[in-house]
Amino acid sequence: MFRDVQDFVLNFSSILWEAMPFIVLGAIIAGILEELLPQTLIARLMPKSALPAVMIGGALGLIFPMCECGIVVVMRRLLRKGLPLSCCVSYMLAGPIVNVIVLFSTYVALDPHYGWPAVALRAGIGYFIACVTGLVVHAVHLRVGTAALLKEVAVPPASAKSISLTVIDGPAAADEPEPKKSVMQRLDNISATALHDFMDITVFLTLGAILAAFAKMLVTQEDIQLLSRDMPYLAIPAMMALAVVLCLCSEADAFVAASFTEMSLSSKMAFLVLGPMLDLKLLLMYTRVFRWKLIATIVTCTISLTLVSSIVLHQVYDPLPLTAGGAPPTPVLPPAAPSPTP
Amino acid sequence: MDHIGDDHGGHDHGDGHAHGHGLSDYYLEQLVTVFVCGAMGLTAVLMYTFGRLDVILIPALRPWVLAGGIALLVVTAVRAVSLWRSVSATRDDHDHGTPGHVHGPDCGHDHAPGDHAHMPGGIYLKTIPLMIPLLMFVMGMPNSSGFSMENINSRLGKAVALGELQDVAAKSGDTLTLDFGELNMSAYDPGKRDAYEGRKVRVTGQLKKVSEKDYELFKLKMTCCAADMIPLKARIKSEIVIPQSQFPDHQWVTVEGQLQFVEIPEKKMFLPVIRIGGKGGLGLQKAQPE
Repeated sequence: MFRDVQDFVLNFSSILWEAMPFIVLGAIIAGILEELLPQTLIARLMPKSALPAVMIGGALGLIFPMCECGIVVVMRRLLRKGLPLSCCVSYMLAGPIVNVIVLFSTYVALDPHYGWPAVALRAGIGYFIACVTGLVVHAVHLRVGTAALLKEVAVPPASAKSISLTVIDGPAAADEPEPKKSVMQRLDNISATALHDFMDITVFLTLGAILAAFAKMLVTQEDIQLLSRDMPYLAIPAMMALAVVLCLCSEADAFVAASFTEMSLSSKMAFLVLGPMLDLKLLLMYTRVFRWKLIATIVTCTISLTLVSSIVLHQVYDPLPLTAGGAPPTPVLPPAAPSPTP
Repeated sequence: MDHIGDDHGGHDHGDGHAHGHGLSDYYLEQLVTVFVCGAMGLTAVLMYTFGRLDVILIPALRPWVLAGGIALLVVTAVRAVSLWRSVSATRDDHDHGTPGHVHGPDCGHDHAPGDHAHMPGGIYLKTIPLMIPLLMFVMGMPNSSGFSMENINSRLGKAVALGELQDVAAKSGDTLTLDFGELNMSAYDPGKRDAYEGRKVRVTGQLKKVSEKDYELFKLKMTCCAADMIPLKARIKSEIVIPQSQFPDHQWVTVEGQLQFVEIPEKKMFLPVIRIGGKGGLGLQKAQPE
């Protein structure tokens, strides 16, 4: 019993404290965005049609690298500022993968036997899934409207009219004169938003870390490896389930994937692509921004697309000749530090 | 963010009637928020200061937690000062018979309806999970004992069967001191395998018994945090029995012996094997944990 508590505390604490500074950073950025970003600026800058907006969103991680924990906090405020929902979803899903630091750590972990092809596959599949999910979300959004998909806290104020890709045409919000505020008043507003968002999201991060720590006590890597040995099509969903349970940071997950020496590249890709998009702690954190209908859409899309793309990858691409020494190495190089926001 | 706008607006402040429950609830909730966030920031700083992060995070990440804690404390301090000032302003307003306002519609920024924290007990329910890491810190957790032996053993999995080893030709030269990671990496590099095989090497790691003359040598490697810890593995094959009373499982040791690489077809890999116990003695020494 004591040993179980000891292991639980270590797993729980490591997940929580690793994410904590990035939640703080995200909350402060959220406070600044809420206070200083003009209400209609984003909507004016974004393309008016869905596809380019979603594609830009999916690639934003290259310019604004953020880890999956911090991104949720910031997204909530950007949605309020008129960022199209589909674009937000594609950035939120692809950002933690299509990210220079994550791609480099993937290369280090999977080099030399998979190397750059594995990096390209991870980025490509992740980007594809994020964009397709973004487009599906856009279609759902057009059908059911904002209120059915977003929590009130993420809905833009009435002056912004809409967060859909129908860019705000009305000049009302933009043309409203900004009331003069003192520096102290602005700092107060930023701090109030930051503390509110930090507390709101950290509650669910904590609950997610508790769930993940319990799950890690029940499921071991050996179980997954044994379950999936010689059954590659079972290995893919098994590795996807493991990614959801482990709640690993996207900068570190490639090293864990590489430690599954008997797994095919396709099952490793399933692990590496799904993990940054969906895990227990993220699922709980999503509930602070999205309503269940949107969460269900995201979960369905990411899981089904990861499964299908991994199976296709298994069918068409097997870069690993099973010769002696041909297995991917257990990593030894130091990791890149997790990416902060710019 | 939270505000008192809606229910506050219904009050009559001109007749000397005291502020209702909306204002006091608002301040109470804000105070709880400031207290919890401040406590979380302070805990982060103390976790760093007392070395509690050493067992759960890699060195590169620990300063981030410190910086996060300090940033949280600064933001909390700003909010606390602001609240203090607004309380004074509200009191003054009240004394003069004018409606007091705290962080409401005239702040000049939007208030998200979902931010409205007047759900009964909402803020207090949120406080409960946030108290868990604080309580753990007070109770001395996590401590330096690390994962349990059972947990580490489950991460190690079953030792692979090596079968009968073939002798390799000894190479001359000084004893190579290899970092465990370097040893592990060399198993995947044909050039390094050729260069190192037959050389005398010195490696430090932890032991786990397979049989009297056969032990696993491992080192747990953390990439970011303890949750992603994976074992790097090698094998020790001894000519003589290794006394387990002297070298129990998970004992840190420095091994000195001849290196060879053994192919494990079912794992699609080569495993570094260090052969000890020849003429030079056992080739094992207790070592300090790394």
